[in-house]
Amino acid sequence: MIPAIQSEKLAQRFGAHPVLEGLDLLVPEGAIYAYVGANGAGKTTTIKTLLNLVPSAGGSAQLLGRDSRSLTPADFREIGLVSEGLRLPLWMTVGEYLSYLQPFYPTWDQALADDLLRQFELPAGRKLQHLSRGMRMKAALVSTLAFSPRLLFLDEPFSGLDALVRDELIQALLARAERMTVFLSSHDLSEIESFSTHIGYLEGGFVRFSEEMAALVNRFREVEVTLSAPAELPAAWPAEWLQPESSGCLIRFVDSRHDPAQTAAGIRQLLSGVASIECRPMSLRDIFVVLARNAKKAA
Amino acid sequence: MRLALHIFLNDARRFRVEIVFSLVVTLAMGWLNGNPPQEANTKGHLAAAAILQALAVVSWCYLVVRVVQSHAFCKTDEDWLTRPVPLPALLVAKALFVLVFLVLPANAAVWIWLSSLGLHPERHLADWLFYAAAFSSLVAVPCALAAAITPNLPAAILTLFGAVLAVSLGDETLPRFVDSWSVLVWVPLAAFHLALLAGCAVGLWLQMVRRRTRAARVAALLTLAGCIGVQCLLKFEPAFDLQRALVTGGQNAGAERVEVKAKLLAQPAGAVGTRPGGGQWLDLRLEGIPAELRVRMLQMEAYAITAQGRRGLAQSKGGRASQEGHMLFPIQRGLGPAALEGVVYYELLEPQGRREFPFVGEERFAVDGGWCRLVQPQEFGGVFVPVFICSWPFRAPAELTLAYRGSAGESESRLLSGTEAGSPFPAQVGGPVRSAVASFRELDLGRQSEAGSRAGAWIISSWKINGFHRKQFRIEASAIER
Repeated sequence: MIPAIQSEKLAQRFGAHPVLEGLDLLVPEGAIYAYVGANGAGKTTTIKTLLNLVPSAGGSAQLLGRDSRSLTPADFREIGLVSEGLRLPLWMTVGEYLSYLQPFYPTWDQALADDLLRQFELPAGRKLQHLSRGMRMKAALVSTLAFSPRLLFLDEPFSGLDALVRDELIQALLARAERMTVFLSSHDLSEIESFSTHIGYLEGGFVRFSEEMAALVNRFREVEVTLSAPAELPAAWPAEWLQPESSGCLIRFVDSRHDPAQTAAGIRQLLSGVASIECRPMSLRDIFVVLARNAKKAA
Repeated sequence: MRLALHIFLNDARRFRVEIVFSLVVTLAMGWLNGNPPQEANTKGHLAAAAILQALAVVSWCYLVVRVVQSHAFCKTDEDWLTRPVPLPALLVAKALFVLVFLVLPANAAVWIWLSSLGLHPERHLADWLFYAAAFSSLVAVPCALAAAITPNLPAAILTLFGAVLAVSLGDETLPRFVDSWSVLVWVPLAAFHLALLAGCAVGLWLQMVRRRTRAARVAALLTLAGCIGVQCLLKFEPAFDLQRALVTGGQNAGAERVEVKAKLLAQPAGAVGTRPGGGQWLDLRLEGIPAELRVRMLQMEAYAITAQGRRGLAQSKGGRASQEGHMLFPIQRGLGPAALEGVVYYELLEPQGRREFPFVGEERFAVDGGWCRLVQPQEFGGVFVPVFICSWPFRAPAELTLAYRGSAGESESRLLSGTEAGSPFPAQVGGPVRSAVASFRELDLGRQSEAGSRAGAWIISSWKINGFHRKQFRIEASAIER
C-alpha cells in the first residue's frame, strides 16, 4: 500500500535559519496522524513544504505517491487543507464560498455540504468576515469535507476554540475519517490524544519519533521505586530512564522503553534494597512534558 | 472554459462597485473629450477632462491590481492555492476581466470621442487594434505583472510608482550619455511597447504558470531596464544635434535668410535696456526655404552690441520643428542704447514621401484617423494644436498645415514628430482656422539615418538631414518696435 505521506530528509530554511533538517515522515493511508511539537517548532512549515506552498530546501516528499514538488492544482482534488492561518475569501458568504468551490471538485457532495452546514449551524447567508474564528474553521472544514479528500491536513484546527466547537469538529471529522488520511498538527496534546492513531514529535527540525499512538503510550511509564534504605542515584544511569529523582528511600523516573519484566530486572540490578516497584501509565501530555524537558536539558 | 467563466463571474461580482466606478469615469472621459465646449469655457473643460483622465487611469490600474491579487501568487497562506484551480483557466479569467472591463470600455470611450468629433473609427480597425494593444501594453499588462509579483495593494502601488519613477529618471538622465539616433517617435514607441509586452508576458508566465516569484521579479526588473534602455537609446534628442552644430560651426551658406522682428517691452524707443524688468522679444523667421524642405530650429543666441562692446549673452534652446523662433532678451541695468546681434542654428529636413489626409469639419479640426484641437494660447500669443492620430505603427504624422479663415492662401505648416504631438502656431498669422491638412508619411524601415551620428540596424529614419546651418542677424536699436 502506498503511504499517504512519505518524506526523506525534507529540509526547509528561512534565509540562513534552518527550520526543518532532514525530516523523515511516514504516514500510512487511513491514519489519523497527530503531528505535535512546541510552538514555533515548524509544524505549519512542514505542512506548507509538503504541499509545495513553500518550495523545499532539500530532500523529497511524496503525497499519495506523487512528488510534492510537482503537485499540480489537479492534485488538490484529493488533498485538502484546513488551517487557521489560511486566508479565506472573507468577502463571500458561506453559501457563496461553497458554491464557488463546487465546480472545481468532481467529487463535491452538495448534500453532505448542506448536512454539515446544518450540523455546524452555520448561517449560509453570512459573510465569512462576520463569522467568529470557530465558525470560520467550521466553514473551512465543510468546504474540505464536502469533496471527500483522500488526504486532509489540519493545521492547529482546534487552537483557541471552545470545548463545544472543538467537540463538534472532532465528531464531524471522525464520522468521515475512515475514508481519508488525516495529518493533524497541534501543540495541544489533550485534544488529539483521544482520536489519533499515530503520532510524530517534531523538535529541533527533526522528527524525534513517529509511531502508533498505542505503542507510544505503552512504552512510557512513570516508575516509582521504594528502597529499604536511603540511597543516591547510581552514576551509571540508563539513558532511556528519564528525569530521575531521589528523595530518601524513594526514586522516581520515566521509563521510555518500558517492558515490565526488563524494567524490573534492570532496577534490581542497578539498585540494592528494592522494596517495591510501581509503574504508572502516563498521559500523552505528561510524556511530552518529559520529552521536552529532557530535550531542553540535553541542549 | 467553463471554469474560466466561473472565476471571471466571481471576480466581476466581487469588484462590481469598482467596475461601475471605472466604467462611469471612462465613458464620461470619452463623452467630455468628444463634446468640447465653446471657446469661452475651454479651460474648465480641459481641467475636467484632465481630472477624468487621471481618475480613469487610476481606476484601471486599481482594478487590474485588485483582480490579479484576488488570487495572490506570491503568498503561501491563500486558500485558493490549496484548491484545484486550473492555472490556464485562471489566466483566461483574468485576461477576460481586463478585456471586458478595461480594454473594451477604454476603447469604447475613444470610439465615442472620435464619433462625436465626426470621425469614422470603423474605417480604421487595424489602427484600432494597435491602439488597443498599446493601451494593454502600457496600462493593463504592466499593472498585472506588478500585482502578480507583490503580495498586496500598497506593495503593487509602490512597485508601479517606482517603475514610473525609474523610467522618468532614465528618460531624463541616460540620453546625456548616448549619442543621438535620429529616429521618429513611432518606431521607438512600437519597440517600447513590444519590449514591455514581451517582458511582462515572461514575468506573468513565470509567476502565474510556473509560480516562480523570484524569477518573475527578476523578469520584471529586466523588463524595466529594457524599457528604459529602449526608450533612451532610441530617443530623439535635439540637444545632440545642437552640439554637433556648435562643434562643426555649421554652414553659413544657403539661400535662406533670417528675418527678425524685435518688439520692445516697456522700453523707450531706440534704446535697449535702460531699466530692469523689461525685455526684448525677438521673433525670428527663416525665409527663403525651398518648398521641399522643412526647418528645425536648434538654438538662438543674442548679444547686445554697445559702445563698450558685446554685452549679455542670451540663449534659447529648442529643437522646435518650425521656421519660427522666439526668444526674450533680458535687459541689464544701464545698458544704454545698443544694437542686437545674434546667431540662429538650424537644420533643414527633407521629407521622404507623403500621404495626405484632409481634415474634416472646420470647427473641431478633426482629421480622419485622428483629431486635433485648439488649446489655450501660449505666452507669446500663439496657439498650441495637439494632434492625436490613431494610426498604424509604421505610419507617422509628418506635417500639419492650418489655413486661416478670411485670409485666402495664408497658412502655416509645422513638422510633427508623434502621434500625440503638438505644434505651436504664432498668433500674428493666426485667426479663425479655415481648414487644416495633416500629412502623413510611411516610415521607410530600410533607410538609415543620414545624420551621421551612428549607423546601425536600429537607426530608422526617413528624414534626410542636409547638415546644420547657422545664420547671423543684427538689429539696430532704431529698428526696434515699441
